[in-house]
Amino acid sequence: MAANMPAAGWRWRRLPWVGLILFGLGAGLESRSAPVSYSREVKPILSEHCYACHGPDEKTRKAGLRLDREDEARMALKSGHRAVVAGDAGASALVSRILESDPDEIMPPPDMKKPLTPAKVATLRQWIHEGARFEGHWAYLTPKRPELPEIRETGWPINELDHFVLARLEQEGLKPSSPAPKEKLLRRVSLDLTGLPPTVEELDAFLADNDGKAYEKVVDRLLASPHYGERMAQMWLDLARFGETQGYHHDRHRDLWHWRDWVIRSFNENKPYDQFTTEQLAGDLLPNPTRDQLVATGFHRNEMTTSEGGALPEEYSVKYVVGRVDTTARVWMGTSMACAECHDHKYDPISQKEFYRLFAFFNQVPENGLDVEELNPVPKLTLESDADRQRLTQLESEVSAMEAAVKLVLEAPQTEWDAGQVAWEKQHREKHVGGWSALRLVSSAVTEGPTLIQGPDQAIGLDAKSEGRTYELTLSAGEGPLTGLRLEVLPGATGGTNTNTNTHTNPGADGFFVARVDATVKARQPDVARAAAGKLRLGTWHVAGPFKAGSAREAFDKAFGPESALDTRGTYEDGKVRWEAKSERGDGDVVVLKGENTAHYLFRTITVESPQVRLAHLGSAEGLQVWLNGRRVLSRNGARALAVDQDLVRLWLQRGENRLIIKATQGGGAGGYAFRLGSEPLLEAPLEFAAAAADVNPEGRSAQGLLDGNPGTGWGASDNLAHTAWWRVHEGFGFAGGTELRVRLESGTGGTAGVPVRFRLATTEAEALGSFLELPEPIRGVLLSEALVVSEAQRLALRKYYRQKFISEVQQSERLLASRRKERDDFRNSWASTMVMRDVEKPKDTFLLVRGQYNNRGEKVTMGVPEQLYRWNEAFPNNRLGLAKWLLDPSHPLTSRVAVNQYWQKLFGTGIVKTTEEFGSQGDWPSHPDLLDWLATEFIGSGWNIKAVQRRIVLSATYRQDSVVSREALEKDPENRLFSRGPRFRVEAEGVRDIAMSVSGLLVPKVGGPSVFPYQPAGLWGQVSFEGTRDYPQSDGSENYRRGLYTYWRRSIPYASFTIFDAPTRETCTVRRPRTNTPLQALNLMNDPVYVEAARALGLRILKQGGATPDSRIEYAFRVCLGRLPAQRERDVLRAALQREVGRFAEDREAANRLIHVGTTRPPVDVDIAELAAWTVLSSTLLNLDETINKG
Amino acid sequence: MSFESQINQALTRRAFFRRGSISLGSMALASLMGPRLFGAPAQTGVPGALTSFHHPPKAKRVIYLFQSGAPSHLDLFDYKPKLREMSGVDLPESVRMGQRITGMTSGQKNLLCVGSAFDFRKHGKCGMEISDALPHLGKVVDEIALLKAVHTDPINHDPAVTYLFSGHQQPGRPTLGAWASYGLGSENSNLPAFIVLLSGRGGQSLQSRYWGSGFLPSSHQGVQFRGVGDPVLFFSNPPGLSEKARRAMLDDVQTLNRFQLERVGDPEIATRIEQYEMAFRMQTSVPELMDLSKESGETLELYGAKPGEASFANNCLLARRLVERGVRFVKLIHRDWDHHGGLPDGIRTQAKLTDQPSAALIQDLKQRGLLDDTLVVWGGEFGRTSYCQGELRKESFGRDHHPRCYSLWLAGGGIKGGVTYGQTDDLGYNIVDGGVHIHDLHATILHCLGVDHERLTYRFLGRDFRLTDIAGKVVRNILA
Repeated sequence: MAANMPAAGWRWRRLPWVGLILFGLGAGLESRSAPVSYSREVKPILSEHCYACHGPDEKTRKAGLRLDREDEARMALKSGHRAVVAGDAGASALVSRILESDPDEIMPPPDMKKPLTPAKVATLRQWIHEGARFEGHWAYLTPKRPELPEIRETGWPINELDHFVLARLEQEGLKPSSPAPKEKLLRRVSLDLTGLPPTVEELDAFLADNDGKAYEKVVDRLLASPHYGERMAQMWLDLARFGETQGYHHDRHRDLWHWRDWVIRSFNENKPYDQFTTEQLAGDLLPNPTRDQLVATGFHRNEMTTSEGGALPEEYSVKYVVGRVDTTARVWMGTSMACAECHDHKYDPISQKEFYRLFAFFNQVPENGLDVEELNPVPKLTLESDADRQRLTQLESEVSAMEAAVKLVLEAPQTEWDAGQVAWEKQHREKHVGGWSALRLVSSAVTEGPTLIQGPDQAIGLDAKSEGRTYELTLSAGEGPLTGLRLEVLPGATGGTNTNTNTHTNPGADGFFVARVDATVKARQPDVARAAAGKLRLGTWHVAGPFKAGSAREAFDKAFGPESALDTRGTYEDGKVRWEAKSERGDGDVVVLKGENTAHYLFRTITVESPQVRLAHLGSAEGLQVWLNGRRVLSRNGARALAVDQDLVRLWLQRGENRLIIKATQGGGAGGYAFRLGSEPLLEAPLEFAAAAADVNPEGRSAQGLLDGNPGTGWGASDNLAHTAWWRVHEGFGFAGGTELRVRLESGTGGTAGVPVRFRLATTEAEALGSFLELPEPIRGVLLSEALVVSEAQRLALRKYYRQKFISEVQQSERLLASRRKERDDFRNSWASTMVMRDVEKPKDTFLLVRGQYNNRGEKVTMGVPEQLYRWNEAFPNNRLGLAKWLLDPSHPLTSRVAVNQYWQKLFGTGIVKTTEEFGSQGDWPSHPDLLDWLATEFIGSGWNIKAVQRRIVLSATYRQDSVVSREALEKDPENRLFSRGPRFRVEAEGVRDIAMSVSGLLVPKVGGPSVFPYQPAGLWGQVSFEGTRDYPQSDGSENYRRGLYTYWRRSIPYASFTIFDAPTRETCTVRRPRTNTPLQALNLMNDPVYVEAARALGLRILKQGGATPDSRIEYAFRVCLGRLPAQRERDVLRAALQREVGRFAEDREAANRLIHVGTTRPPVDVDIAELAAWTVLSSTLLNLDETINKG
Repeated sequence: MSFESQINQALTRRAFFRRGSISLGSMALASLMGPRLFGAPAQTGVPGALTSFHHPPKAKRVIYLFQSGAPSHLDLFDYKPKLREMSGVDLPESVRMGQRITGMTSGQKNLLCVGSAFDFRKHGKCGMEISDALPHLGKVVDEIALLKAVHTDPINHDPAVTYLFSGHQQPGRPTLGAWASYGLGSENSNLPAFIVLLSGRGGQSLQSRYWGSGFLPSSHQGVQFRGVGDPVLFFSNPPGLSEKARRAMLDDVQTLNRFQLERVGDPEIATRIEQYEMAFRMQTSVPELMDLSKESGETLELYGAKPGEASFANNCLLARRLVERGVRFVKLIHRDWDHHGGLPDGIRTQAKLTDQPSAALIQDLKQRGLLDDTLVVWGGEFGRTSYCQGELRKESFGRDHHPRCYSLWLAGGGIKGGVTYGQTDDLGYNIVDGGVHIHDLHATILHCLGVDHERLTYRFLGRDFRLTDIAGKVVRNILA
C-alpha cells in the first residue's frame, strides 16, 4: 500500500488509526459509521488471526470451533458458550476472549504472535453488533455482470470500464488526468502490445492522422503484428515456468522451443482462451488431436526434473506432479494450493484430500522420476514432416530386403563353409579338457562347519554334511605363468577316508550356488621369488601433446592417436604433435602440464627378466588413465591437488619389455601427473579375473555373475551332476619357487544352496583358454554339449556364429546391413522432438500422502476438484480434459477473473486484485470489484477473446491518461491503485534489451525458432556448472540480436543482465515479477558490451539518417529512442555533450577506435571515428535514460 | 522545500537496492509494528523492513563459509574410536534401523564401517577434539562453538543445499542472506547487503537459487563478487571511455533524468538518479576494496592469500574486507567436498585449501575487534556415512551422503567459544543428544542478528512466510 509513499511519511503514522489504513484502499476513506463488510473487512481478520485454529483445517481445530462457516460459528460449543451471537457482542465468546486480559485466556494466544489491533477488535465488535452476517468469499462466487455505476463527469468515459474507474475516483474526490500526448500514448501502447517502441515512420504516420479513429487504427495494427504474440508469450512463459534446462542439479539442456513457438502462434492467431487452455492442459485427450494440440501439452513438461545420482525416482515423481498441481492452481485459479500438499488449507476451503484428487489428474504421465535421457525425457513427440516419414518407410523396406538376404547367407547350407566349421568345433572341444593340473589342498577353513579333506583324485570335499557357505582354501600350484583357474563340481561322495555316511553328496535338488570367487596368489618361497625377479629397467619417458578438445570431458573420453595406435616415431594432429623423449624426467617426479581442455600421453617401457607384480604410485591434477601392454589398468577423472601416491595400481609385468602409457587430461588451469614404481616386486597380490565361463548357466545364473561382487548373482545348478566353470586372468601369474593360491568360495544370498560339497580346483598354463572362454555363452554351451542332443536351433546358432566370425562374405553382408540400419536409425533420431503430456493406459492409483511425504501413503483417492471453489459436473470426463472443462465452465468463479487480472497487471503494473497470484481469503481485496467482474463476464461473453478484452482496455480513457503525477495524486493514490493517471513503470528485463536492439537497428526481428545464446561475460557457466555444461555456446552473427524472448533460459544461471533486471529463474511459476531499481542495473546499461554495441549502432544510424546538422541529429535521436521531440534544454545538453565528445575523441583517436569496436558487428570504414565515437557516447546517454526504459 | 527535493530526500534514505512498486512499506507496517526499543537496525546505509530489532543484536553481520559437497564430520570433527575398531564390519542393523540411504549405496552388498583416516587430538583451553586434517582450526577452538548433531531432511545435494539456505527443499524461497538483507538492510549504501564469493572448480554444480531472493524482491539476492577480472558484472567502463568521460556522460544522463522528474513527477525517477550515482561510487570504491595487494605481507601470509587468484583464501580475506565495510551477509561457497571415493586424499586436498584461511579469518577478525559483532558459520549441507561407499582399502575409501547428523561450527557475534554441543552415537550415525535441525540453525543465526525468526515474515501467496517455516528453536546452549 505504501510503497511509493515517502518513507518519512509512513513512519510517523502509528496506532491506533493505522489499522484503518491497513485495510487498504478498499476501505481506506470510508467512515466507521458505515456498516462493516464481512468479505472485505471481517473475513480477512478472522483468516489472519483465527483460522489457524478455527478454520477449515480439521486437524488443528481447537475447541470444536469453526469460524469460517456461519452455522458452526453460531452454534453452542461444548463449553456452553457461543462464539458469535448476532447483535450481541457482550454474549459472544469471540468478543469476550479477544478482550481478555489473562494471557492464558486471551485470543489469539500470545504465542501465535498475531495480536489484534484495537481497530480490528472494533471491527469485529461492530460486525457482531450489526448482526454478524456471513457471506461467501467474493472470489468463490460466480461473477455477475454489474450495472455501470453512476458518474458525474459523463463526458470523460470512452468505454464501459471508464465508468467504474471514474465512479471510484469521484468517490475519493480525485479527478482523472488529462489524456496523454499522442507521442507518449503511441510509445506506451506499442511497448504494451508488441514490446517494441514505435519507429519514426509509425510516429509520423500517427501524428499526421487526424482521423478520430487514428488511435484505434494503431491499436488494431499492433494487435495484428507478429510481435504481439511475442509480447504475450513472454508473460505466459513466466506463468508456465518455461526454461530449457532440467532445473535441478545438473541442469542439462532439453528442447521445448517448439512449445514456445506454439504459444507465440496461438496469441497471434488470437486463439480463444478456453481453447488455449484446453490444448495446453489436455491437448492429447482431445479427439484425434493434431500435432499442434500435442505440442501444446508441453506446458506441463516445463516442470523441473532431476538426474542427480542417488536421488530416488519415486520421490521426484511426486515432486513433478505436485509442481503441476501448484502451477495449474496459480495460473488459472490465482490460488496457492501448495499448503494443502501436507495438510488441509488453513484459510481456504481446500482439503488435503482434494489436493490429492487434483494430483490424481496429473499422476498419470508415463515419465521417469529420474530424467536419464540424453535430450528430451519421455513422453515426447517427434516432429517429422510427411516427406521425412516417406523416407523412413523407404529406408525400412531397404533394411528388410537386406535382412532377408543376410538370413540366407547365415543359415543356408554351404558345403565349403560347413566343412570348416566341423574342424573348428573339433579343435575347441579338445581345448577345454587338456592342460589342466589339479591343485593340492594345503589347508582350509569352512564357516560354521567342519574342515575339508582332499581325496586321492584331488577332489575336495566336506568330511561331514555341512551348512558351510564359505570356504577358504590354501592350495599349492606351480611356478606358472598360469593363465586360468577351473572349478569342477563333482557328484557323489568325497572319496576320502571318511566313508561312514553317504550324505557327502551335493545336496540333491538344491544343487549348489557360488556367488563369488576371490583368489590371491602368494610366493611360496619369498626369497627365491624375489631373487628370480631380477633387474628392472625403466625406459625413457616420451611425451606427446597437448591434444586439444572442446571440454575436459572430451579430452578424457576421446581416443587420440597414441591411444589407438602407439608409435613413438609417429606424428598426430596433422603433424603438429609428435613424441618427445624426456630423458631428464625421473621416476617419482611430479610433472606439470599446461593447456586448457587438453590431453597429454606419456609412454615408457618397463623391462623385466621374469614375470612379476609391481606397485605403481600415481597422481594427477585431473583426468588420469593408465594402460599396461594395451590393457587399461586405471581410469579416474575429476580435479584434485596433484601429488604422487594418489592412486596405487598393481602392474603385472611380463617377461621382457612391457609398454606403459599414461594419459593425463585437464580442463582449466594446469594439469599434470606423477608416477613412481615400487622398488620391490610384490610377493602377494589378488588375482584380477578377466573372464569367467561355465558349462551350464541355468535360470539366469551365469559364471559372469561370479565376477561382479553382487551376492545375489553367481553360478550354480540345482541338479546333482558334474559341472565346470573356468576363469581366465588378465596376465599370467606365478612365482619362482612355487605359488600358493588362496581361494575363497562364497555362496552369497542368491540361492538356497550352499557352495558345492565336493569339487576339484585346477590351473592351466594354456594360452588357448582365452579364446575358448570368450566364446559367447550359448555357443560355448553347444560346443560342450557334444555328447548330448543338440537341438536344431542350437545347431543353427552355432552355424551363424561360425560364419559371422570366420567367413568374410558373411561379415561383409552383415556390415552392409548394419550400416543401412544405422542410416535408418540416424535419420529417425535426427528428427526434432518436444516434450508432451500423455496418460498411461491403465490409470495409476493415487493416494493421499501423509504430511506430503512421498512414501507415506494414506487413503486412496480418485480424480476430483476442490468442490467448494466450484462444483464438479458429472458430465465432465475423469481426466485432464475434464479438469480443463471444469476450469472453463462459464460459471467458474476464478478462471475468467484471474485471466483478465493478469492482463490488467501487464498493462497497468498492478492488478485490480493486487495479489495476482492469490485470490483466496489471504489475498488482497480488489481495488475495483465491479470492474473486475465486468471484464470477467465480458471476457467469457466474447468467447474468451483475448485480443478483444485487451483492445477494450487500451482503448479506454483510463489507459489513455497522461502519466504525469501531481503532488496531490501521489499523496492520495501513491501506487496508482485508483488509476487516477496513466500507467508508467520500467519495462521488463527482456524489454530493456529489446528497446536497445530495436532503436539501434540491430534487432533481427525473426519470429520463433530455437533459443539463441547472445554473448555475455565469459566464464559465468564454468563457475557453477558440472563438466560438460560449463561452456556457454555463444551464438554467431545475427542470432546475437534477437528479441530477449528467445534468449536461452538456463534455470541454474539465467542470462546475467535479465537477472539484474528482475527476471525470475523460472524454476517455478511466476505470476508477478518484482520491479527493483538498483545500481547494478545502471552498470549493466552503461557498460555491458551489448548496450555499448547498441549505442554505437544507434550512433551510426543517427549519423546516416539523422540529417547533416547536430540539431537534426539530436532531434532524430530523440524521436528514435523516446518517440518525441527534445525540449530546448534537452537539446542544449546534448549539443554541449556532442561538442565535448567530438573534441575529446578528435584528440584521442585511439580511444575512439576502441570504443566503436565493442561487440561482434564491425563499424563501417566510411565514417569519421571521432564523430562516431562521440555519437556512441550520446546514444549510450539516451539508452540509459529513465524515460527510455520506461513506458509511459 | 521543492516537491522534487522532498521526494529526493525521502527516497535516498532507502534508495540503494530499493524495491520498486511492490509495497514494502505496507508489509513492514502490517507485520512489524513492535515498539522501537532498540533503535533502527541500521543507523546509516539502507534500512530494511524491520523498523526495530526484536532484541539487542550481538552480531551485525554474518560470514557464511559454505563447504559445498558435504565434508565428512567423521574425519574432521566427530571422533569415533569405536568406528575405527569396527572398520570392515557391516554396520549393525540396530544402528542403521532401515533408514533411507541413497541410490548410490543402496545396491551395495554390504555397508562396512570405516573409521577415520585421520587422528584427532585435543586443542585449546577447552580441549576440543579436532582432526589432524585441520591443524589451523585447532588454534582457534576456544573461539568456536562446534555443533556435532546438526541434521537436515534431504539426502541429495541439490535439495539439501536449497534446504540449508532457504529452509525448504523446493526452489522458490528466499535464502538466509536475502532474508538478512530484507529484514536488516545494509550498513553501507555503496555495497549490496548480500555478497557471494565462489571458489573451487570441481565438485557439485551450483544453482543461482542458492543465493537467490525467492519471492522477495530481487534486490535482495546475493550479488556475486569475483576475485579475478571484473569484480562485479559490467563493472568496467567500456574501452576508450575514461573515468572522466564516464563522469561527463553520467552528468548528462542525470541532467536529462532530472528534467524528466520535473516533468513527470514519478518518484521512481529520483530513485534511478540516485542509483546511477551509487553505481558510479561503486566503480570508484570497489576496485580498492577488491585489491588485496594493499594488505600487509603478514596478513596475506596468515590467510595464505595470493593477490590475483580466485581462491578460498583470497575470498576469506575479501570477506573480512567486506564486513569491515558493513556488508550484512557474505557467503563463501567452496566446492569439492563430495568424497564418494578417495576420501582421505580428497579431505587432505580440501583441508589444505580451506583450513588455514578459515582459521585465519577468525584470528584476523578477532585482532581487529570485529569478531564480537561478526558471526562466522562453517559447514556443509549434510554429513557423510559411517559406512564405506565402494571398495574399502586402507589407503582409500569413500563415504555416501548422511543427513541424519553432521558437524558445523559457529564463531563470533553472540556465540560462546570453546563449546561443543550435541552428541552422536559411537558410530557417528544417529543423534544421541543435542540435535540441531537446519531450522534451529536459522533461528539461531537470526537470533544473533537481533531478529526473532518467527517475526521476520513476508506475505506471499496469501501466507506470511518465514525462513524457519513453522519450526525452529534458538540453540541457546551456544549463545554467549
